Amino acid sequence: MNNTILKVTNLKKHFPIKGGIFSKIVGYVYSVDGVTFDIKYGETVGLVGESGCGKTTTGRLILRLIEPTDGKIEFEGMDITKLNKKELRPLRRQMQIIFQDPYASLNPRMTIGSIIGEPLEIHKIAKGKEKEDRVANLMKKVGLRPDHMKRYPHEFSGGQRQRVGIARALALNPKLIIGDEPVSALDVSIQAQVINLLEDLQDEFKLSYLIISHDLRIIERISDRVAVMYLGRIVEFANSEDIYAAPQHPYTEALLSVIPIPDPTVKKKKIILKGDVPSPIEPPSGCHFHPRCPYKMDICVKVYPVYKSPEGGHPVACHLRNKEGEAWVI
Amino acid sequence: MSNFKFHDPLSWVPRNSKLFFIGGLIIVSILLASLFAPIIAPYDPTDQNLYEGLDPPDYKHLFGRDKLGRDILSRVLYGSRISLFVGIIVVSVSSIIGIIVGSLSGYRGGRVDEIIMRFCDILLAFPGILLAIAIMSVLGPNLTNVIVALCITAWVSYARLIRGQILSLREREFILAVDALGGSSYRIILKHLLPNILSPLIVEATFGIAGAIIAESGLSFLGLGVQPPHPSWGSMLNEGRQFLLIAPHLTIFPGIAIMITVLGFNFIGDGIRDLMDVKR
Repeated sequence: MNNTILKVTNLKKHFPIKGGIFSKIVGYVYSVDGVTFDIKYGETVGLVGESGCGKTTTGRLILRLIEPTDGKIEFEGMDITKLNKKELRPLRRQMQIIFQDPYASLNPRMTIGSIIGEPLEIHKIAKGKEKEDRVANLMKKVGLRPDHMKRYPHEFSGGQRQRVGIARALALNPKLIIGDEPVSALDVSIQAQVINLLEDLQDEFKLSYLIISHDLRIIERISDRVAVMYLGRIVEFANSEDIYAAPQHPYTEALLSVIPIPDPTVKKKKIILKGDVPSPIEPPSGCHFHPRCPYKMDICVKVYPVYKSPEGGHPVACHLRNKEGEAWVI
Repeated sequence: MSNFKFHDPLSWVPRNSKLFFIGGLIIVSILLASLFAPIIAPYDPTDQNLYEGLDPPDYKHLFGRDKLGRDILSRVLYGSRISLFVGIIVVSVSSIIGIIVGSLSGYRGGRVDEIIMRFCDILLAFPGILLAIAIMSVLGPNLTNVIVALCITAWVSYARLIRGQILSLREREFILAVDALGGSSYRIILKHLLPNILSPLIVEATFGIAGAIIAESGLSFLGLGVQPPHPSWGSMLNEGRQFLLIAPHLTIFPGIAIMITVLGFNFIGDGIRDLMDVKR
C-alpha cells in the first residue's frame, strides 16, 4: 500500500442531460461508470480506449477539474475526493496535467516565459529574476531555447508547444503527471521525441505517469501497466508484457489484433469489431461489450461481469474468464 | 508602368497601424477642437441675429447661419463637446458594468447566469431608443439623464458579448490548465479570459461610442436631450429639419460632423483590433 501514489476506487461521473423549458434532467451520460485502478511510485500506467469511452474524463476527475458523481480518489493515502478548491491548492503542486492539443492548451496572448512561469507565480515560489532563471532552466530541461522566452505560442511548432506544456507541468516539481493524449496531436517523428523526453524526465525527477491514449503502440512503448477502458469502465488491467502477450478480454484482443506491424511478411488474424461504441447515455444491458463481442454468451446480455482477477491472472471484466463461484480478488 | 509608384503619405506609419493612425488623427483633432472651442469658434454660439437668419455659407460664416442667425460653425464646434462627452461616458460606464455582469454570468453559470440573462432579455425586448425616451420622460430632459438613460440600455450588449466569449473560452484547455495549477477565479478572469476577449470588446466599444453619439443626437432631435439654446449636433439637426429644402446647410454640417466622428472611432476600433493581434 505504501508504494501506491494514486488509488482510484469505483470512480463515477454521470453528466446530466437537461431538456424542456425548465431544464429538467431527462437522463444521464454515463461517461465514467465505476473505474478502479492504482498507480505506484515511479510507474507509468497507460489508459487506453476508443474515443468517447471516458478516458479524458477520468484524467480530469483525478485532478478534480470536474466533480466526481461517486467514488473515491486517494493521493498518497489521502482521500482527496471531497476537498474544496482551497484545500486542493497545495495538492496542485503534486499532480499536474499535460493536455492533448498543444494549440489550445497555451494562452495565445501570453509569452512562453509567462506561461511556464505562471505556476511559480500562483504558488508564490519565485518572482522576478529568480522566476526567470527557473523558467530558463525548465526550458532547457524540455529542449527549448531559453532565449525564446519572449515569444508567443503561435511562433512555435506543435512539438515545441507540447514541450512548453510539459515545462509548465514540471514547474511545480510534481510527483504525478497525467498526460491526456500527450502526443496524439503530433507527427509520428515528433511523437517519438516527446515520448523520449517524457521518459528522460521520469528518470530524472522520479515521476509517476498516467498516460491516456488511444494509440496502443505508444502505450506499449511507455507503460509499465495498462488499463483498457470500454464505455466508462475498465475491462482489463495488467502488466504491459502480459496484456500484449496474452490479452484476456475480447475487446483488448480485438484492439491488439489491429495494430499494424511494420513487416509485410507477417500474416496476422485481424479481429474487426462490428459497429461503433454504443452510446454512453443508454449503455447495453449486461456486459457493455456484448453487441460487438465475437464470443457472446447468453449470460453476457443479462449480467455485467465482475471486474476481478481469475486465479493466477490479472483483473478482467469478462464472463469468459471469471466463472461463477470463483474467488473474488480485488 | 513599372516606374509608376503610388505615393503613400503614411509610408512611415507601420503597416498594421495605419487605420489606428488615421482614426486617432481624426479623433484627436475633434477632441482638440472641442477643447479649444472658445478660442477657435469665430462667434458666440448663442449670439442671435434675426435679420440674417438662414443665411447660406459665406466667407464670414463658413457654415452659414441658422434660423435665429447664429453661426453654425461655432455651434458645431461647441456641440462636439456634448457629443464626445456623452459618447465616451456612456461607453465607459456601460462597458464596465457589462464586463462585470458578463464575466459573473459567464464564469459562474447556473442560476446566476439564468437570472442575469433573462433580465437582459427583458431590457432587449424594448427598442433601446423607446426605453431611453420612457426613462427621460420620467427623469426629465437634461444631459445627465441622457447619459443615465443610454447607460441603462447600453450595458446589455457588452454583458452578452462578454458572457458569450467567456462561455466559449472557459472550456478551452489553457483555462483548464490554470485550473489544474490552482489559479484563482480572479486570475483566470483577469489574466486569461479578459485579454482574449479584449479585441471584440474594443471593437464593440468604439462602435458603441458612435452609437451613443447617434442616440444622443436622436434624443436631442426629439427635444429630450440638451435644451436650447445650448447646441448639440442632434438638436441642430432637429432645428434644421424644418428648413431642409430652403436651407440645407443647417443639417448638412452637423450631419457631417457626426459622420466624421463616428468614422474616426470606427477606424480606431479596427486599428486597435489589428494592433492587438499578436499574430501580426
